[in-house]
Amino acid sequence: MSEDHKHPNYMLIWVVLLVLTVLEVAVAFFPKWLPDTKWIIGITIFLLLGMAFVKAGLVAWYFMHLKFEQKNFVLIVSFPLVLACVLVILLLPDVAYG
Amino acid sequence: MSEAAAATPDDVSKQVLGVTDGKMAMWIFLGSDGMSFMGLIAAYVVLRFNNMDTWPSPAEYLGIQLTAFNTFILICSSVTMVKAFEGALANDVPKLKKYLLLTILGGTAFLGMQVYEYYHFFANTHGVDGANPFRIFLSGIWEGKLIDGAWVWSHLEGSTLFGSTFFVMTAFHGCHVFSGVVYLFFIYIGVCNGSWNKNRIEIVGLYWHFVDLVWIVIFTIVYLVETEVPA
Repeated sequence: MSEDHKHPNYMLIWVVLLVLTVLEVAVAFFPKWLPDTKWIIGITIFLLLGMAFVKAGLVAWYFMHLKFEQKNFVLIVSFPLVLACVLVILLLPDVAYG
Repeated sequence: MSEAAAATPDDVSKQVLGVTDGKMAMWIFLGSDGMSFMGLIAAYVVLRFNNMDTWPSPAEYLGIQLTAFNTFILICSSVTMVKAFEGALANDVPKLKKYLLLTILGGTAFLGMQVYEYYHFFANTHGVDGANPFRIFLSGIWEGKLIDGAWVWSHLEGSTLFGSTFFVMTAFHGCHVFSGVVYLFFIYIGVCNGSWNKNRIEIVGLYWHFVDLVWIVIFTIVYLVETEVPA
């Protein structure tokens, strides 16, 4: 339980999440604005996924109070997430040879 | 305030992981639920990249602005949920009730807008009613052409996968939001009856934030990612 911790500034995290959402929508238009730039699709996808991971991380770390849990508990609950990412990577050969 | 549960929030310091049984159970559920979502996401990635040449552009058929606003609503309801938990920690029942109610409202608004979105896909995706050719987004994108006074329908090539993956992922998430709203509603009734504790509020919060977290990922890869430079 997180009764002894100092409350994080939830409003600040809220603003960061909203700014990132607006940025995401703007970045999604990059291919339309800069169609001649090399690697524009790859850059856009990389930026979008990066921002999505930052947002998901902020929600888990602050809103779900992982920041205030014991380290071994954080390790246990983040294990399924690692396995899930491994699942996607293991399926990538299907993209190449599908 | 009833503290009848086996492990009350006050004695967790004696436990190895420092969490109550209920919280541990919710995290285990969220871990397996995250795996379910990741299975869908992995399937989506493989299907989409294997059919890149016929995959329709999401921006052309999905309402990005409406869904971005929906994402905004869900993020706000996540913030009201932590505010409710803050109220619970401070034993501030009016604050707890107010923010729980706001969270329920946010979830309901999200669901309502998703229904509105689906309805408009079914009704008219492109152009006004009766336009020729006329497109609707159902299982795939169907195009109707008026030929000799009769509508002839065919679906765009590659659009059925686009449709089925879209509806499976967003509807699976929508079901989670619906369960979350029902869950929150019963917690709210409990608070009104004076039968609540901080642990329960924190656990319902975990579920709600997880639903928000999943939506952030789904919104990005289903709505925003484009695989081709638009013409």
